[in-house]
Amino acid sequence: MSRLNRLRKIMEQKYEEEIQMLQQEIEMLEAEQEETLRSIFIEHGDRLQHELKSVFEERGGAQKPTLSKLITEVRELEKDLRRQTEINGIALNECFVKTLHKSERKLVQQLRLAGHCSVLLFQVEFAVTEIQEGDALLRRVTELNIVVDGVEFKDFSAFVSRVEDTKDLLLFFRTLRTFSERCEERRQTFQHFQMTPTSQFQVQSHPSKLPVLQKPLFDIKSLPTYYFENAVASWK
Amino acid sequence: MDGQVETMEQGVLGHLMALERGGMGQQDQHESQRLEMLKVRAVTLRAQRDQLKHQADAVKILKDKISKDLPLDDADAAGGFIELQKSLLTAWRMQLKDLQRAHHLIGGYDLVECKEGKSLCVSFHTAFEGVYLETYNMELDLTRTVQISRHNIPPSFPLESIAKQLLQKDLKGFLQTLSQKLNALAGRRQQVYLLKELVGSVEVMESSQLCNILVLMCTAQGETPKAVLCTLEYGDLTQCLPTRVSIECEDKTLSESPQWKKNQLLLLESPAHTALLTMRRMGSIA
Repeated sequence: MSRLNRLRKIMEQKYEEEIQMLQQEIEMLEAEQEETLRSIFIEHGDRLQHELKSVFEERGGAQKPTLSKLITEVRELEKDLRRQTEINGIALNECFVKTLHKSERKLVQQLRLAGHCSVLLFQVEFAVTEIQEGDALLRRVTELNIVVDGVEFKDFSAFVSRVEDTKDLLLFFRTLRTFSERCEERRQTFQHFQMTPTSQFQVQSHPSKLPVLQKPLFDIKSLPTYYFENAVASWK
Repeated sequence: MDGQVETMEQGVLGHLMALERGGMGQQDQHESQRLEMLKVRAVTLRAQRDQLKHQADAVKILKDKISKDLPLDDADAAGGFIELQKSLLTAWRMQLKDLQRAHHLIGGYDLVECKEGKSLCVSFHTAFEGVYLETYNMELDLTRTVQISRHNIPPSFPLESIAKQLLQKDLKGFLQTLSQKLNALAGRRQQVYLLKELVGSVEVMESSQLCNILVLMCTAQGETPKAVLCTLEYGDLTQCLPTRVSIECEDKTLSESPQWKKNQLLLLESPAHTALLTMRRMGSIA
C-alpha cells in the first residue's frame, strides 16, 4: 500500500505544481490582454468607435450569437455611464488607466482623466493605491495633478494648488461642480445684460469664455460676488 | 508534448486505479478522489490558458491591422472577422468599465436604478486628504414623491432637515449638500483620529458625534510646562476647519503671547493634526 501512496503523492505534487504554473500564466495573459486592449483604445479609439457603429446597427437576427452577449453588456455599460454622467455633473471624455502593480491584495494604478463640468474643462492625473486588509479596502490617492479652466480667479487657483498638495481628489470635483455652476450663472447674467438696448458698456469675451465687462455701469465686483463668496467658503 | 503527458497520466492513473480496486479503505477513496479533482482542475486551467492565448493572438492581429490602417472586414477571413469584432467589443467594454471606475474614484454617486426605476440607490463616498474613508448608502423611493426609504447615515447627522429643504425640488442639490456635509464630517473625524495617532502628547478632552466641537489639552513647553486648553468650534458643518479657536491657560501671559496668537491662527487655518504637529516641531508644545 505504501508504494501506492508514494505514487499518488508524486502525481498530486506534479498536478499541484502544474496548477500553480498555469494560474500564474493565466494571470499574466489576462494582464497582458488588458494592457493591449487599453493601448488599442489610446491609439485608435476613434477608429474603433467608428467600426463598432456598424456592429451596433445590426439589429434583430443579424447579430451573431457569440457577439450578442458582449453587445448587450456594452449597451448596458453605456446606459449606466450616461446615468453617472448626468447625476455626477461630470462628463469624462478621456480615461487612460495604467496598472503599475497588481497582486492579490494590492493594486496601484495611474489614471488620466479629461472632461468638463458644465462650461469648465479639466484634465486630472492621479495615482491610487488600494490594499485589501481583511474585510476592509484601504484606498488612497498618492499623486495628483490638475489642469483646469478658471484659474484666472485667484481664489480658485489657490484652491487648486492646495488640493494638489493635500491630494484631495474628491474635494476638487465637489468644488468644481459648485464653481462651474457659479460661472454658468455669471455667464448667463452677463449675456442678459448684453441684450439691453442702451449699451453703455460692452461685454467682451475673455479667452476662457468667461465674459469680462469692459466699461462697467457698476462695479463688476459688486454684482455676482455673493455667488463666489459662497463657493470660496466651501473651498477651504 | 502535451499528448505524451496525457498518455502517461492515463497510464499511471490507470495503474493506480487497478491497484486500488484490489481492496480500498475509506481514506484511500478520498485520496484518489482528490487526485482526480486535481487532474480535472489542471485540465480546465490548461483549456483556459489556451483560450487566452488564442484571444491574445486575435487581439494582436486586430492591433496590427488597425495600426496599418487596413480594413477590418475582409471577406476572406469570415471566421476571423467575428474574432476581430469580439476583440473590438472587448476593448470597448474595457474602456467603459474604466470610465465607470473613474466616476467611482472621483467620488461619484454610483447611482443604481432599482425596482424598474421605482427607486434609486446612491452612495456617498468620503475622503480626507487623499485617504478614502466611509461610504454611506441611501435608497430613494420615487413612486409618488421622492422619499428616503433606507440609509446608513449616522443618526446625529441632520439628514431630515436637509431632506425637508431640498429633496423634493432639487435632487442634485440635495445629493451635493449631503456629500459636502458627510465629507466634512468624515474629515473632522479623521483629524481627531490622526491627532490621537500622531500627536499622542495632546489629550482630546471633548469631541461630539458631529465633531462640531473639539477641546484639546496641550502641554506648553517652557521653564515649567503648563497646561493649555484649545477649544475648536466648527460653526460651519460643510467645513473641515474651525470657525473659532480659543486658547485658555492659567498663565495669561502665555495665552496672550505672540507665539500662542500664531498657534491660534495655525489652528484656524490648517487641519488640527497638521497644526499641532507644527506646534510640536516649533517647540511650542510637548
